Amino acid sequence: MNRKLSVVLPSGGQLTEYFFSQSLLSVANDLSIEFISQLSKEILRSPEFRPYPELMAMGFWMRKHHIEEILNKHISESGDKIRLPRGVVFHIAPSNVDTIFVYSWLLSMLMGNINIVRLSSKGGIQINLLLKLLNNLLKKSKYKDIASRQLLITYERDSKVTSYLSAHCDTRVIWGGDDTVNTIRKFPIPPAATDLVFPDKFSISLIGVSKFENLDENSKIKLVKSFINDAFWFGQMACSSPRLILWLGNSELIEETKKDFWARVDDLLDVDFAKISTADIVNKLVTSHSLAINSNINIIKTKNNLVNRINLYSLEKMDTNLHCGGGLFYEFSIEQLGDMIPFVSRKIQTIGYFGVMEEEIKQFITEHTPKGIDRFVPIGEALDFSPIWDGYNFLYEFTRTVDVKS
Amino acid sequence: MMVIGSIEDLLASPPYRLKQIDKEKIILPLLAKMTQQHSEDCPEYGKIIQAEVNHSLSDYEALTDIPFIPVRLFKEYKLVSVSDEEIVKTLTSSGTTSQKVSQIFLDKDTARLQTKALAAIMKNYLGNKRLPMLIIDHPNVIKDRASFSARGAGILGLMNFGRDATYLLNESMEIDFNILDSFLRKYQDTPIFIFGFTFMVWQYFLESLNKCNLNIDIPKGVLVHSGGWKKLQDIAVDNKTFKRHVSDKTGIKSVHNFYGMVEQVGSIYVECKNGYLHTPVFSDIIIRNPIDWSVSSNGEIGLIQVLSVLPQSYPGHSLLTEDLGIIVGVDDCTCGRKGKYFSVLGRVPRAEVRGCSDTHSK
Repeated sequence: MNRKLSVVLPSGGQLTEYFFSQSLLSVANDLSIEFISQLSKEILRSPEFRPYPELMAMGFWMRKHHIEEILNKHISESGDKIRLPRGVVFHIAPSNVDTIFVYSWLLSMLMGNINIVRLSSKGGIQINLLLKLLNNLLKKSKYKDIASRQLLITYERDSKVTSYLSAHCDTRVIWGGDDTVNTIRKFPIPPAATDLVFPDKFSISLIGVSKFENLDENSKIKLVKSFINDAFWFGQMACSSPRLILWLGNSELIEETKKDFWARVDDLLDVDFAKISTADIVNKLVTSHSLAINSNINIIKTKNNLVNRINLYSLEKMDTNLHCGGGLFYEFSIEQLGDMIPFVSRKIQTIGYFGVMEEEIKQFITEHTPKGIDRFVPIGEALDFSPIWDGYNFLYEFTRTVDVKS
Repeated sequence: MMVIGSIEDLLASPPYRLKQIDKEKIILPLLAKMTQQHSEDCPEYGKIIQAEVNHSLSDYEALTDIPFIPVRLFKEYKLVSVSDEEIVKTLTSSGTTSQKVSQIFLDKDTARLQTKALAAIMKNYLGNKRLPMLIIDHPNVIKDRASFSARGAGILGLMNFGRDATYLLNESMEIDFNILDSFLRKYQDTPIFIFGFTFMVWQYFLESLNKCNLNIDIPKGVLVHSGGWKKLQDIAVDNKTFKRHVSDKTGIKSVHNFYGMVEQVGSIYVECKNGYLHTPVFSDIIIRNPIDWSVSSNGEIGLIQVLSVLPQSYPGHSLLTEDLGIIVGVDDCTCGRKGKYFSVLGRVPRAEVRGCSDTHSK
């Protein structure tokens, strides 16, 4: 149907009517579990993958034990409710963080769906490594029932293909931020189909200072390292990368803690890891000055431009869109969790926390009914994938429930 | 502004005679005063200075203490220190259609200072007599006199130093050979001032001559050109190659590139016979290490900060550019000009695209 469309995987795969009409595998089918765990084994033992921690983390996440844990937690038998796959799931992968769609694709496979994935044409080294491995696995005859139900394709921006695939899916998964969501949404999906959308997000680190103060030396180092990991992977440009730090506690202690904390970041942040370019640094200066024009802020003098800090005087007028990543941190002090409420819009995704009890968080949520925030995770886990993402539980979204009453 | 009188005095003096240390003594108090004045008169600039809690406005002990703003800010905001009625000219940068353009607002004083500054510099290179001028462009670039592109502003600014200004190209960017022929015939034995934008000189003058297999002979010509090397770098043409082609195709031996920007019109940095760009007495450059904004030693690459005492109507007296450069030396260029001299090494490479959102990939 389109000369620019090419099938990446499986080799010999074709986009035909037959592809859409195949029978569905069952929810949590054994073949998919085995396929994913085999993929995990090969990633974890291949030396080629070792230089890429995000791929190793992915391989670790795919371990059989972990997959079963996810299934047990989310898809437990519940009497008269039986889960079935949705049918055909059309995934649109983002072009930048090019491995995140793998998680949602595998979960959809695990739920028994037929999957068609549109890959970004500008794939990086990581995704190509993964595709090579997938290709070898899908060739094996024991996985032929999986292979026939997956199609990974690329095509140039072409509305005909997007329109065709949208019209033939039961669920559409749109990664890639606001612009992609807005573009793809223009193409209708069947009346009964559903969209899962992943628009631009903004994430936060929350640090309770009294707890930080009481940590021993090693624990402080560990926490700061975890924060650095959260903040500097993907150049602080992933939707889960913390861009604002909320300091929770009494103001005197906050000032002391900030000094200690940032001195440790300066100490522990490795230049090669941070990967901050001159262009990033200029961007940060433009952002800082733009922010100064738009609202009341203080630009804090830092040791160097790997880390740049901005003190906000108010959360309400902050323009989250201005943030350019590359090690730029907004900071704001709060006395209690409820103080962040005026700022919490649907755009807020992850809050990586330290020094706050799980109970306090739950209480905050039930008491204030925040209009945003998709997840609270301990600092250090901001970029870890979870089957619950941006407010969706993938295992539910990739299935439908049949109610059988006696 | 109070500083104008002092600036006028400065502009009346020879532009390259003061040693760096003496020049700094004169321009530091002017730039300090301008920082204060602009932060009072331009609310946006005032908020930036206020947000940079680290400096107090009174203790600038060296040029390097004067705060800077990124030049890109002029693309995002209207930064102006005078009322709308006082604006006599608006300059815009010549970005491509997809890019935002800078907008620079000039009042009468600033426009006059720019003209005088440019005159002081150009006379140093061209002599006091106005030479017949050949412009490597077409006449329509300066059609709209109320709003100028950088290209138009550059041409108009330099036209003051020539006479009988003649445009070499037609609107299809082709050489009008009738014009060329009669111009060269008319000024056979006189020095000629030729001006154009670097890429256009290459593409529409030198390459066109090349295609027609034509050489011309203007041994007394002085070619002044500007506008950046990016397009020529893409086709691997450096200043040396450029000069060699100019000499081969036209016989011109005197070629002066200059570095300047629409955000600081008038303060241009012209190349001497040794190939170095020179800072005149009313403006200066500082090379900064991007990693911590520290001042780079001579010979060390960094981002170029440009300082100029000319901008009175907008806060453009201290700007961080996105160009990389090195200071080659101070006060000791064999061409005889005092002050810092430097080279520009190109623009900062674009940042790698990362993140969850595709919107950054455009």
